[in-house]
Amino acid sequence: MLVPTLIGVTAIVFSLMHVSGDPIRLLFGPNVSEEKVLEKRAELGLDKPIYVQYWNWLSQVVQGNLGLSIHVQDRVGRLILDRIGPTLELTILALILTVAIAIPAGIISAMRPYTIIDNASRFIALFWVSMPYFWLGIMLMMVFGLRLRILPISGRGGPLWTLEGLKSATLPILTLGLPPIALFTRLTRSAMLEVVNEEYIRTARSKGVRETTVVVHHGLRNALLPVVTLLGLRLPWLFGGAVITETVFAWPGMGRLLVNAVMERDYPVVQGIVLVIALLTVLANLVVDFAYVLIDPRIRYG
Amino acid sequence: MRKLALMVVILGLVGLVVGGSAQTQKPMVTAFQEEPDFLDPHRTTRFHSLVVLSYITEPLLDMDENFDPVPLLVQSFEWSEDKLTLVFHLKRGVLFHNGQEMTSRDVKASYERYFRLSPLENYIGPKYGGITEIQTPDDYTVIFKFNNPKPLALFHIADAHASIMPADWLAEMIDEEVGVRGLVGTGPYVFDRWIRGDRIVLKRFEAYNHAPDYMKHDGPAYAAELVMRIIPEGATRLAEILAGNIDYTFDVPLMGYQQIAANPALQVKMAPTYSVQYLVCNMKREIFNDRRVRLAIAHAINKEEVVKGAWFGIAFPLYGLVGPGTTGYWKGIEEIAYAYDPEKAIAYLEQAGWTAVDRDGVRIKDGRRLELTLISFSNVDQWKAAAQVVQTQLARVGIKVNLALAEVGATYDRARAADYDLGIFRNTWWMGQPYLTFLTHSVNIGSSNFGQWKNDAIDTLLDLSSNALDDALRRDAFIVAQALVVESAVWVPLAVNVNVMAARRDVGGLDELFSHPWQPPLMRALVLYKQ
Repeated sequence: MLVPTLIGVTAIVFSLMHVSGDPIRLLFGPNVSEEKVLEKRAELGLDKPIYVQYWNWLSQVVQGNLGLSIHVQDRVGRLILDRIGPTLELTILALILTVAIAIPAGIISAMRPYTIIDNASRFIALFWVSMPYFWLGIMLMMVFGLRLRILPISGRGGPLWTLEGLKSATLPILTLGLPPIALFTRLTRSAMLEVVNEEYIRTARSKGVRETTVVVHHGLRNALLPVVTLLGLRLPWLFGGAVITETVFAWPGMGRLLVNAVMERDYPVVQGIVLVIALLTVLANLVVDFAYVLIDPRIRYG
Repeated sequence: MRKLALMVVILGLVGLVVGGSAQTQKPMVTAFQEEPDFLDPHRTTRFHSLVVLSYITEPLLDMDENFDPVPLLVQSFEWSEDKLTLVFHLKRGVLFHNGQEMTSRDVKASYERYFRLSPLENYIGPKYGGITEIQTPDDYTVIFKFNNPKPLALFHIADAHASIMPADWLAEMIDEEVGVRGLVGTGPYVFDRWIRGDRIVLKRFEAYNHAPDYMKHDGPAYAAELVMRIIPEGATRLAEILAGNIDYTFDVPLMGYQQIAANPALQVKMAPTYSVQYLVCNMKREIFNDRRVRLAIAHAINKEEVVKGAWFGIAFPLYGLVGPGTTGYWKGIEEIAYAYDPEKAIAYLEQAGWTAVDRDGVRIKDGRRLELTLISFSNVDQWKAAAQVVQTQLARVGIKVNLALAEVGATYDRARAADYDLGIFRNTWWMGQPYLTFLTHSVNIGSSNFGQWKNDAIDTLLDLSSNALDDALRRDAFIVAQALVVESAVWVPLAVNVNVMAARRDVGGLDELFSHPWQPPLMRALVLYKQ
């Protein structure tokens, strides 16, 4: 399914990108003669029918060449390689943050349903989910960057393993990681509530197994299946959130590159990034499929 | 005791010397809203690219505060009697960042590349009867041979697009890598690194010493390092400015102007820039063949209100299409421009037969409502707001305006297809000519003449203002062209942007910088310092 999925996604995006806007006009601005525009269009092959352009692009891609950016005149592969690291930093750490908070919160809520703890955990989760990324980012920036001055306002201070890098990544990670907590908390809670009423849990308890073992080993393991499924499906959403977060925090990631490329109708860059995101999504779902086997040994793939 | 006193005196003197010098090892941090596409002077057409590369590469000439071309990389220049030969005597000892001395060979190679690659070579290029031959009789003499006289050539030679780079270095590089992988010039800063999406870092060029005469400081630049941060989001830029993390920026978010101006740790300077916004009637639409309708629109527009409503008052009303920060600007245009007068606007509409008014307050003629579609750009708040203000103002005289706002690509598509009644557009150019030609000459119908209008008188005057050898005739033709454009009421100038500069209190040199009408990037590089 991988190949048809990638071809389908890139073909749709390629067609949509051609609905409006001329990349050469956008590159040159309004003060360049039509003659020059036509020359450049021909030079880049943009004067050919759209299906020919798509075919040309596809033929290059199978040879490992993502082409040349129309707007910044650099190799698309190199542009993506420069920017994918910072985006993966944000998305992976944000996902870890979400899971690290949401799963324990969901378990606690499920173990103590309808108590103050459960209500408080649901309220806090809903509080974060109600905040748009953009607004949350600006608020965090105003409080921790401008008022308290304990974290950088924007930019990437360096690699994550340096202190400056870690400090500059904190606010973007919080912005991207806090809102989805509600979703995962709710999902973990409901999955756990279903599981804790199962007979095997009652049996385990009646046999005197420790409560922690009952919850983690017997309960959580079974409740994790829908959570892991959602994790795989959330990856494209995370990239969507990264676009906004990267813009707010001037973070040099792939999301901003994508936004600029769309605005400039830089087809090769858009196509390249879409391909990478589609690949990562497919890979993430593959990882999820393997995770099923680890979580539930009864699952086997032929 | 005497020894101690002596030491105190010496230390004091050292302190004075060090403190008195504006040279610093500290980096100067500036912020940009937009990231350059690439930094190749010969290929880019982007404003932000031009600003950044002007710190690194230089053209042969520069323009002083009176808009006169002055020597930058040349000692002197002279025209032949017939204006077909232009001789440049290069400055000796001007070094490129790679240590090579600039010679006539580099000028020839740079110009040949410029003509080969630039989408802009529409005036001095060989294809358009400009420079057809470049001779280099010795290392320090360059002779440009023109096919036809090009009286505005000096302005184009002073354009940073025609920057000089080393011939040997250019020969080693493939065209696409220049300004992407590296850039070598003669400017006050050396290209160090570019972290895409984040920052461009430049280092001071210690050997720089040839600033144009209108600057007090010959070089090298004061700050050892210049960090140009790319911060696209206005709120983030504002937070960084308020936090004091940005030493200076010209990309001040207008919504935060009051906050910045009220902050005692910051200083703010303003000057009109050469970026103008205007409303235009599409002359391919029959309704505008009646000049009275156009006049009604021109009189219904209150420019001051547009400036306040869309630019928070941080812009200037624009009276002609050539703004005050542009070469060839004529102040008399303010007397000719149609004044805001809604009564007059209504009178014109009634004379044109739009007498009846329906229950929505929209004028009717022969059963047709006076309803127009206005296109503009949705991705910039100011344009969106300007369209809304114009919509309100025209509604007051009975013209219903439907806004069709879309992002840049889609709007330009519609504009080129002439699929609109009214449009609000912006253009940025520092030379009055060819700028007015871009906007109003009939050769640009379908590209940048969004009036979609051919007027023989305007065409002739624009050609004269571009090609006449007589300076006075050229100047006068340009003035009359500006007047005719405004009188036509096809184009209704709205506002001229303001260059707003916010800087920390410890940044000096702002007064000298603002003595020049458009604070050129080269001057920013050389006169600004950190105390």
